[in-house]
Amino acid sequence: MRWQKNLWWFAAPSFLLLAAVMFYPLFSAIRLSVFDYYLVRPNDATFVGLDNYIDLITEGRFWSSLSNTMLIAGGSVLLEFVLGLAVALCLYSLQRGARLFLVLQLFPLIITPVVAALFLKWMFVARWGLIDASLASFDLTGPNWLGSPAWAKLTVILADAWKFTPFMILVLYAGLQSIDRNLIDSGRIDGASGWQLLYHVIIPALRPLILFVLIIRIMDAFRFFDTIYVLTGGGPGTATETLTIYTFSLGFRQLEMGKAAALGVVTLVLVSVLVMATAYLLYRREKGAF
Amino acid sequence: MTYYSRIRAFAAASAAFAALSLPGVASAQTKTVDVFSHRYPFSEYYIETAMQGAVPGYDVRSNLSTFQQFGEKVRIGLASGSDELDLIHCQGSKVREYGKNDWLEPIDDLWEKYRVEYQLDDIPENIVNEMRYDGKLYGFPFGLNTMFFFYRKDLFDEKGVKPPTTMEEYVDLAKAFNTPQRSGSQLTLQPVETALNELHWHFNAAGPNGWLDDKTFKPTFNQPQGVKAIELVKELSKYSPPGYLTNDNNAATVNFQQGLATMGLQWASRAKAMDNPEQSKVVGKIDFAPPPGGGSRVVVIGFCLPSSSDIDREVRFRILAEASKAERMRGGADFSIPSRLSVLSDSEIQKSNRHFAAAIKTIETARDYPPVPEYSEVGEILVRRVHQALSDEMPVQDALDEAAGEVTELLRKRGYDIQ
Repeated sequence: MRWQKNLWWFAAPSFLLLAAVMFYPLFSAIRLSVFDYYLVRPNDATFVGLDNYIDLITEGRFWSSLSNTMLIAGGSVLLEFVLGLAVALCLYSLQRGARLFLVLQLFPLIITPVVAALFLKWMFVARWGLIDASLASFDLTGPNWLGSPAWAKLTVILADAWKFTPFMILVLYAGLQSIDRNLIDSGRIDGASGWQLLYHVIIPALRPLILFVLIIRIMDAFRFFDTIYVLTGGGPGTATETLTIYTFSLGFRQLEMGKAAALGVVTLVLVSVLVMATAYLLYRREKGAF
Repeated sequence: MTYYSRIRAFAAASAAFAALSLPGVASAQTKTVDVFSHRYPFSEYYIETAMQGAVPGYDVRSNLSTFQQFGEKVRIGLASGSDELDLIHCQGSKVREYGKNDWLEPIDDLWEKYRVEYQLDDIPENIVNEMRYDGKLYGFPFGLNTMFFFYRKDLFDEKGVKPPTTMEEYVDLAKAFNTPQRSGSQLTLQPVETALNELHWHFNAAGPNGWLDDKTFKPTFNQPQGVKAIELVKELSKYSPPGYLTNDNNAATVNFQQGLATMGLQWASRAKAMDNPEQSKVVGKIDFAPPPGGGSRVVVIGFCLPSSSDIDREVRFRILAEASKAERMRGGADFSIPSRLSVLSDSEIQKSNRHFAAAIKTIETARDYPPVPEYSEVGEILVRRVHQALSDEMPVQDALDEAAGEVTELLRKRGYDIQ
């Protein structure tokens, strides 16, 4: 046992590195969040306790950005998961060509996020964007993709799904490869339908991976920024203003760094709670979640 | 010389030759001056052509991004004291914002020192004054830019109508010209500054009070005239290209060039692009006029010296002074109204820039933003609320009242005594 205790020393460098790049900024942000810190006058920062947090939770803009975040993050992760699982299952059934497709479908994931967002913007732009111009050739008029609040939300969800569904496909397809074929074949012999196989065999077998992709994507979707920033800037109005866009606006447009830090801390707590809730829901086997 | 010493000498000579041939080593003696701006023809010309080779030993590197990203990047860079920014594009409103925060170098002494050598008296004092804040000169003025009215002259002639002179006429004509293929009007309302430029005109054209009181900075945009202005914008939005709430000036320019919009407000610096046959389907068909109701934006544009740069301020000033020489400014006359009288009065320059006449008429009624250094933060609030009104999230009056409350609170927090 004593030799195991000594092993902690080997972990010390990693811990120090982690502390430097993760914990220091985190504590620094928490500290900043209890100050009224206007970036233009950093020397006038004053301690305000929880005022920044109280300001945030008493203003409508915070709640509207939170509900936008839930809707956009929830919508895009759900869409990506459903599409990802469907495509992964199709690829799993393919006898040939699956690998080629798997490589090709990774392209959206490889492209730099801002470049991908700019590309998407030129696709969705009204009248002469790729989609509207294509529709126009059939004498059809597209919706107001980026200009109407409802369509802008949907467009942002579609854009995120375009970019991250390949990640879902990749992970779930890898998971499918690891399922024991005998389980599926036995199910078939016992007369299980495709849906029954999916629900009772495939999904339970994939559960650790499903948990992994959902947690990763939920954390990612809550930090969703670049695509929204380029596509809509949070607009029209506040229709696509998520917590990160609001944080950016507070920090870098209004230069209210203290309040922006408070919002960052609130977002961190929210994401942690959500991730833990997801893990709990997916793993309460005894209570019959699956 | 022994065998080994010959080898050593050969190796040393080879190393020296290689070092001299390497571009990295050669350029170690030249310093790089980073100039930041948003990508539009004026900046492209001055940074990528006129400033190049201005001062021996200094390479000028162009850093151009979108309008929105440029504004945010520069603000963050200046506020954090970054030495990355050596020269930045600026205009009067920015000079006030940055000057108040001590983010810029005053250049009065250099202006005096080089007044004769670079014939700086050729630039009228009232233009230079736009680059001053609190009595100090912070920017080098290269030109004027203003927003005026672009319209399809061929379509107007067909219908036998003249460009509108009031907002009501503008709305009526927009409705009359609107077709599914071509919008009757064009609004350019991407948050924040692009939208603020357009809204500035709508608020000013609606009445004498504009959007902020020029002296006390008390919000005036929620008064009846302001509400009427936004109601008219809402009416115009029915005849504007879809996506007008997220369209920037590049998108608006393409709409004009592709024949997708009949008329609307746009920067003078974009006028020349209408006649570029490589980009435009409407060469010679777009004409220019002062905007209905007047009161659009006019800005003196130029470059400023951030105080956090580690490049010598005199070198940076000389780069600007060289780029502003009359022969170089002639090349820039296509993209802004030149600040040097000798260039502006050149008959050939006037002949090749048919939009100058409309620009000069526009300037008679045009004005810059209210002189509040915090205009950008105020604009963020106002634009967000106007967007909410235009996208039916809330009624116009409510949206503007909310904005007025938030702006008052913000300005009080920044030390203004607003009753």
